[in-house]
Amino acid sequence: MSQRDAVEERRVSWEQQLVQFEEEQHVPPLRRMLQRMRHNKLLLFGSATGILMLFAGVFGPIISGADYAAQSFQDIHLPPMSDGYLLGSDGLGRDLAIRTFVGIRVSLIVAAGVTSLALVAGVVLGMLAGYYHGWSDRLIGGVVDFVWGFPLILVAVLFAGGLGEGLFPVILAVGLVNTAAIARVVRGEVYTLSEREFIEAAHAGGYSHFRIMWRHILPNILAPAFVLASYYVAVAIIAEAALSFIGLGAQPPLPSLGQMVADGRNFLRQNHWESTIPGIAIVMLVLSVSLIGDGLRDVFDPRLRHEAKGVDEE
Amino acid sequence: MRRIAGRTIYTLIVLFVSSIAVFYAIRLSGGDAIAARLPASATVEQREAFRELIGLNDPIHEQYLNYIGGVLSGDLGKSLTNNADIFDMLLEHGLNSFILGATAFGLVFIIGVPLGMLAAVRRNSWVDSSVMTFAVGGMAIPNFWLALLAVWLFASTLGWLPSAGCCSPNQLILPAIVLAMEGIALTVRMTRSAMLENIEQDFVRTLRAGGLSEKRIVGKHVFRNALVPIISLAGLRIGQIIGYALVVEVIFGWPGLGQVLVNAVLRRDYPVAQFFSLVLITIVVLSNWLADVGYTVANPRLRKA
Amino acid sequence: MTDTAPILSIQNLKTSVTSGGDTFNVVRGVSLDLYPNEVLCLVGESGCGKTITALSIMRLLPDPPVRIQGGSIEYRGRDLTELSDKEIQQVRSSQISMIFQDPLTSLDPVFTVGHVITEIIRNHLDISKEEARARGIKMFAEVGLPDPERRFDTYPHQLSGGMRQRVMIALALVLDPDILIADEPTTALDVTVQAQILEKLLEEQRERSMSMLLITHDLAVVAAVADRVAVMYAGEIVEEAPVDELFSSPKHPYTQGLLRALPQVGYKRDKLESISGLVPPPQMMPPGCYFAPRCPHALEACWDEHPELTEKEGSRVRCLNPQPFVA
Repeated sequence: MSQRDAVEERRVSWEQQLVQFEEEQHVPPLRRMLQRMRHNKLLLFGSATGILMLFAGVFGPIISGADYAAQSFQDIHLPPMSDGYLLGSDGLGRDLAIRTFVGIRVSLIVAAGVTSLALVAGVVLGMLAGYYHGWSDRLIGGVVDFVWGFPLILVAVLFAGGLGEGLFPVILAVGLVNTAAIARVVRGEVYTLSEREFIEAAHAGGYSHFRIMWRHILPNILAPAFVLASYYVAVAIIAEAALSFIGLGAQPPLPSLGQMVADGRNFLRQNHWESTIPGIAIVMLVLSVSLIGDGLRDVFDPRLRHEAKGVDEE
Repeated sequence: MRRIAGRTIYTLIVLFVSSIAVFYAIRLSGGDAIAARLPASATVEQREAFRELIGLNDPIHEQYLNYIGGVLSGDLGKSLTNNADIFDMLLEHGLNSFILGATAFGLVFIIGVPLGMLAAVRRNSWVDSSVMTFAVGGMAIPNFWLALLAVWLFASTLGWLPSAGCCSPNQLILPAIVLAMEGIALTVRMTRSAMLENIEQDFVRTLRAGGLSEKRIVGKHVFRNALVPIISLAGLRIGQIIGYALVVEVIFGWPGLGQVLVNAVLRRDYPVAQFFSLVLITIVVLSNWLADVGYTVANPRLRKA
Repeated sequence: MTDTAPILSIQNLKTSVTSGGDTFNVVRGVSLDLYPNEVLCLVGESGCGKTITALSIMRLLPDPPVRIQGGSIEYRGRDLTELSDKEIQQVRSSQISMIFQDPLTSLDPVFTVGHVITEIIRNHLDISKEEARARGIKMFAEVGLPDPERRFDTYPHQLSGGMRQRVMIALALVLDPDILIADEPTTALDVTVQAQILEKLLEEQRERSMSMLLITHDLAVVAAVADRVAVMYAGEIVEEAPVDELFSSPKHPYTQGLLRALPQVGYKRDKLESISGLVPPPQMMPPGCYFAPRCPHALEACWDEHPELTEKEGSRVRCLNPQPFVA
């Protein structure tokens, strides 16, 4: 074999080794994301708690089958694990378990349900404002900046002042403030995106505005919008509970976690479970949503990965 | 400076728009609420006369102008429930709220910033993880629930502090801490991540190359850079504190603006609800303005832009 | 030049990076001497380890993940790799200084440039604020910052790119160091400003009789300023020579490739030449010569045996089969 052939053979075999090495190193983006999710213990813990709470809110009332408003004056202030009352009963002899399940359902509908709608509205408004600039930006941007600056609880109290107390003003406040908050961030993201080459290329390619927004901009803003939405779900859960606690939210007989904590606080010495059980439920709801939000941010936002690594190593 | 001037004009417009919005919203629904306050035996004529008396039958923009005129001349009307003068209520409850709010606002930074720095400096140690666990907890526990636990522990069980009332320093401690808790948690997280982000910036390498000690670089330069977002968002913390004050004041029986507003809404005392809504909105809008000014002042890059 | 003793002597320096659980060297045994009064250029593609080498000297590596694994860096009888944090802080900027590529991000945005230079001066010298200020202003004037009195109290964002780099030079030279390390100091600047900054650096180097280690990938810069050149490839030095020797008769096939890839004004080639293939990934180095996979003159032995840096006609070259240069 000549020197030249021998060298050529070595080169080819080396290149094969390199290709093999690179294949081993390469992880598809989706799998890498799943890997990061799996390594993020807090995200896993948050998701597990979240699924548990979702299950309790959706199926709890159905499975237990009882009536959340049914009273029984023989069975008041029962501790958990009492006969017929898994989590005990309150001062009117109502089943705490079923009331907690319904309370979780109310929290989830007001906070998560309304924020999901706000996510859609916020993304659409933010995209329109950020994409078209001009008057639509000034109009939407102005309103959004105006609403965004207000604390959710104050807005809800103001609505309750105008509309009377109940869940409706709370829902309205959550919807409005969260839409504005999401729209605000989406608008900023779209601003930066529209200056990127691939958007300019799409313009040059003669695509319609709708197609550019739908196919090119939307996929790029979904991740930050979701992360933000999960944060605002937590804020909304707390706000709904707090408003119900001071009597401006859900009205009896419909139970709400905040209202149950308030009802139970006069009986802390007799049976503290009447306050602690709904209280723990609120904390678990908020915790799961915030952990999911933090975890998603770590997974989606590689700029902050060193932060995520810090969490992993703890 | 142009930036600050622009934000000031914007703030004035926002104030004007929100005063109209609050006025219309509460006046429109509040009118029937007053009518509902008259005894059930009142005749239609008596109700009509009452509406006429308090001006509900005038065109609504006239009502607005009359109202704003009244506000500006110090004539705010009286409460429908206890006939108290609203201006006196503002002075008394305003001061109480200011004491509580200012204490909580101070605590947010006095506790939050050093804890966040500590967590950043001792990154990935047990100190860091305990501080961060505390911060996650502080954000997840709703403050009314925290209030209840605090009262239960420090007032009912240990008997160290009073559970409610106003306005001795002892009575201030629990509501101020509860009110500050979420702000503290947020500030801890923000300080920590801002410190960690800035410590990786190129300018830190330049200062190291300049022979400065690590302590000085982190304690002075990195810290000063990390303060930029924290100062910028201080105005937002005010807004948040006002929002939560509505709840915390009610729980601790702290007679401030928030408690007055919530009670007025619950009792349909519309002149009080209307005025105090306007007061709180004004404070929030002004603090947002302050946030903008703070951002400009904290960040030299924007100062002369 | 080689008859005087080197002021800085790097022996067999190895620096590693840890990533995804693996640790691998990115500087693989660099030995390099810097002599008094000379300008030594360290040349190579991005990722070849030249910046890591420079940061290793100053002990400015971001640790973790980058860490010195072995070797020594001798300066005035002391091994810099062995110094305590406090000792290396005293060496930095008063004896060895460094300037960086991007002058905007390299300056603290929330303090005035005057504040920072005063702080650095007073960190090393026990003098009053006023004296430090006077010294800072004098230094700003010396590096050619127009209106230094006024510029003293400005923030970095208020200065142009060229002025920021002058501020960086002032920060680095204000304590009159023996050695200046400049890491791509002109890469981020406009072409017209580049020449001014290089001129200023050379002028300072001559006036202060200081040694300069200039890191660059730009051979035009090398030709203009260097006394001696070291070429790095894949974490080691492959050729080291006086500048004239290197440009007239490069010996390592990698250096030859770099020179061939240099476009020349007024001389049209059929095509622009480039070196075929890619730098191997740091986890996966060829068994013999690291350049063998890309080398036009590779022998079978090149795949088995890792060459040493050997003297050849006034140069030092790491090659088993050096060929004469044909442009």
